[in-house]
Amino acid sequence: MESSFEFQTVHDSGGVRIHCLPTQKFKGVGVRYYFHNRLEPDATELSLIQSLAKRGCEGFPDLRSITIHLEELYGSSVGLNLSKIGERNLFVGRLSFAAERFLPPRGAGLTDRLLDFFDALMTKPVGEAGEYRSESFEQERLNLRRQLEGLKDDKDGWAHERFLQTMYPDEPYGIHEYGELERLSSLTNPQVRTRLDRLLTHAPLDIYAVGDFDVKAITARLLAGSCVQGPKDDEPGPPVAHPVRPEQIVIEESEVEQARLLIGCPVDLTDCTEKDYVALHLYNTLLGGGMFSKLFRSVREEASLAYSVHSSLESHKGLMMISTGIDAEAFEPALALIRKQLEDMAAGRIGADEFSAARETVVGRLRSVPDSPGAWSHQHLERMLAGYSFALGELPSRFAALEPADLVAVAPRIRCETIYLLRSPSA
Amino acid sequence: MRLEPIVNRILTEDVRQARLPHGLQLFVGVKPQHARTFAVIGTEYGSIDSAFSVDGEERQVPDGVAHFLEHKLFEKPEGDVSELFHRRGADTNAATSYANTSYLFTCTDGFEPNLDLLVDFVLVPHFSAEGVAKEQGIIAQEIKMYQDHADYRLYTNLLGALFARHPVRIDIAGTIESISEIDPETLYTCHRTFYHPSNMALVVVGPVDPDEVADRVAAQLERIGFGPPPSVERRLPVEPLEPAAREVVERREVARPRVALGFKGLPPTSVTGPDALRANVAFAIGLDLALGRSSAAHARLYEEGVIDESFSFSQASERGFAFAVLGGESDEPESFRKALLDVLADSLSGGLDKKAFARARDRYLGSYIRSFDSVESCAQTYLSAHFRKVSPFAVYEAVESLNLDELESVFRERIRPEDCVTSLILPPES
Repeated sequence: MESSFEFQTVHDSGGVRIHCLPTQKFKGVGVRYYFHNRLEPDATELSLIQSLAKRGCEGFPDLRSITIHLEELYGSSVGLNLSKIGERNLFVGRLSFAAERFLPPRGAGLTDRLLDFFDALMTKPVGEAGEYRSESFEQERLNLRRQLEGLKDDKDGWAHERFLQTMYPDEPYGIHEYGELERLSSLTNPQVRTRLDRLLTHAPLDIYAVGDFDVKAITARLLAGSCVQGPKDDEPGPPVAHPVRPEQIVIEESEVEQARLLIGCPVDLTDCTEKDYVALHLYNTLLGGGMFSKLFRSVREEASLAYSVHSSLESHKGLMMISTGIDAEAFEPALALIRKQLEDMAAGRIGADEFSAARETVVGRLRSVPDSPGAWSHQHLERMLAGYSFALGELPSRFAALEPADLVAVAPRIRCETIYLLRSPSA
Repeated sequence: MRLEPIVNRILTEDVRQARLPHGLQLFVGVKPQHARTFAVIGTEYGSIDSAFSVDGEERQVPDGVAHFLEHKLFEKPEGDVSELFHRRGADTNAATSYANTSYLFTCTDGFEPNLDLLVDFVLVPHFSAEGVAKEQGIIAQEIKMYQDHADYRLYTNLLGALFARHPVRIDIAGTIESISEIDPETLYTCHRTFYHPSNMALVVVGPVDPDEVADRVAAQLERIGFGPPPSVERRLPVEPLEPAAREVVERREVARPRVALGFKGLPPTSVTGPDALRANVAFAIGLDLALGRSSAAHARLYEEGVIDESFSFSQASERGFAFAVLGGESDEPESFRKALLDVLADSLSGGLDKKAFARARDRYLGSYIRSFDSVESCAQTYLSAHFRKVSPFAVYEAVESLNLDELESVFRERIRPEDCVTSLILPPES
C-alpha cells in the first residue's frame, strides 16, 4: 500500500519553516523542532544547554517538577538531543503525546499545555541575570565531562570517534556533536546562557508535526511560540570540501577483546545529480546494507571473520564508512576481502540476485518510513538539506529504475582513504 | 477460516485470533492505514531451557543452544533465508531471550510469499556439520563484541552472583567453550522438542485480510505435516533464596567505576495468567514510584550528585526467577549503594506516595496507548501476552484496577535489601 501523502510546508518565512502532516493513522502526535547550527567546537555549549534545560524552567523549577508535569500530561515525552547531519549540528526537540480523542475528558487541551511547556523549557530556564542556576550549571558541566571521558568505555563508539578525528583532523566533521573536553573546563555560565540566546534568536528552525490535529490551529499555535521568534538568520551553509589525500593506515591500541576496523571512503558529491544520489544509496546498500550485501556474504558468511560488518553512507558531507569487529590477526585478510568487494562493485561484478535484494530492501525501507512519525520527519529534512526536490512517494520508483550500470557509474566517486584499526596492545 | 475478534472498546484495535492446525496460535492485527506489515513467529523456548526431558528421554544441552539454533535456522541447502527475504524487499531478524525465541520480517510488498517463507524456514530445519562449524566462528565474534561492553559485563557478572544454579546466570549466547560442543544432532533434538506448532504463536500486524492469512498458514501447516506434540518437561534446578555471592568486582579500562545492585526476588509461583501480569505491572510502577525521575528520592540523589544521567533500573521475571537491577556510574560506589538501599528501605516501610501512584498510572496508560502506533510493538505485545497467557489488552485493565496495597506487597517480595548483591567494574589499579 503506497502512502500518497507528503508533508505540506505551511509556513516558510523569517528562517522558520513549518511542515505538517495531518493523519488519523496514529494514536499519538509527534512534533519535532530542528534548530540548525554549524558543527563547531561550541557543540560543547549546545550540549550543556540541552542538559541544563531539564534542570528547570519557569513554572517548573526542577527536574522533578518537570517529570511530574509530563506524567500529568499522560506520559507525554519531551526529549532534547543533538544530531549531526553533514557539518550541521541540529539541536532537536522531540515531543510525543497521545491524541486527545483517545483520552478521558480530563485530557482536553493537552496539545496546548505541552507546547506551552516546551516554550518555557527552551526560553525560560531557571537562573538570574543572564546565567543558569550555578549549582545546576556546575553539576551538568561535571556530568558532561564524565560523559565525554566515558566515550572511551564504549569501544565501538570510541573507535568511531577516533576514526573521525583521524580522517578529519582539520574539518568540522571531526568534531563530536556533544563537544570537546578541552573547551568544557574553560566554559563559563554566562557564555552558555548567551549561546542559548543565540540559538533561539539566530538558528534557522524547521518544525514538523504529524498526527491528528487541525493544521490551521496547530500552525498558529506553533508560530505564536516564544522559541519561534527572532530573525533566525544564521544559516550554516554547506560542508567544507574534503581535500584529496593518499590512503593512510592508522593503528591504535586500547584494551579490547575484539579489534575494530573502520574504513573511510570520501564520496565526491561534485555535480551529483538526483540519479547519482539514489545510485550512491543503492551502492552502499549492496556493499554493506544488509545480510544480502557483499560485505556480509564475504566477510561474515564465507570467511567467518566477523559477526557484524556493514557500510553506511553520509550523503551530506560525503562519507561512506565500512565497519567491522574482528580478531586483530584477521586484519590483513579482512582488509583484502573488503577491498575485493569495492573492486567488484567498480568492475560491475554484481549478481542479479544481490542487486535485486539490495534494490528491494531500499524500496521496502522507504515505503515503511511513513509508519513512523519521527522517521518521516527526518527523511523529509534530509532530502531538503541535500537539495533534492523529489517527494518521498517518488523515491521507490527512482530506485526501481536503477540498473547495475548506474552503480558502476558512481563507483569512481568513492575512494578508499583512511583505514583505522583499534586493537588490544597484546594482539 | 473465520477468526474470533478480541474486544477492546477503548483502543479500538482490530485484533483477531484463531487456533490453526497442529496447535499454532494465530493473532492478526488489522491496520489498513499502515504501509508496512510485520509478522513474528515465536516459540516458548529460550536460553534457560538447557535441561529437559522429551518423550521420556532426559537431555542436558550445552549453554547457548537456543541462540545458536536461532542463527542456524536461517541456513538452508539453497542458501541463506535472509537473502531470500531481502530479494523480496523484506527485512528479517530474530532474537533469543531467557524464555523465548522469535523470528520476524517486515515488508511493504509481497507479504504472502514472505509469510510462507517465515513459517517454512522456522518450522522445517536443516543443519549441517559444516554450517555449525562456520557459525561457531561468527558467534565467537558476537560474544567477544559484547565482552567489550562494560555495562554488559556489569550486568552479566551481577546475574552470576545473584544466581547459584538457575541458568539465567549464564549469557544467552553461551560461552566460546560451550558453543564449541554444539553439533547438528543437538540442534535437531532442540528443534523437535520446542518448535512444534503447538508450542508456538504467529502474529501478523498490518494492512492484511485476517481470514486470508489464516487460510494460507493453515494450508501450509497441513502441507508441511507434523506428528503429535512431543511430551516435554523442562528441568530447572532448585535455586537457593540467598544469592551466590554478595559482591563481584572486575577491573577493566573504564573512565569511571560502574556499579549495579541486584535484588533476587522470591521465585514467582507462576509467570503466566492475569495475576502474574498484575504483579509485573505493579512492580514496574512500584520501582518507578520509589526511584523514577518524578520521585523525591531521584531528585534528591541527583541534586546531591549520588546519581546522574547514567542511573537506570530494570526488572525481569521468568520461569524460576525474578530480579531487579539498579545501576549507574559512580565515583563512590559505596555511597551509591548505601543511598539507594536507604531509599528502598523507606519505600518498603510504607513510603510509596499515593498521589504519585495515580500519576504513574496515567503515564503508563499514555505510553501504552501510543505504543499501538507501531506495527512492531503491537505484534510484540500480542506475542508476549500469548506466552504470558493473558489477553492482549490485559495491561490496560491491570493498570486501571491496580491498587497501592498490591503494589506494596509485590515490592516486598521482590526487593529484599538484606540480600542485595553488588557488581562493580573498576578502573585498573594504578
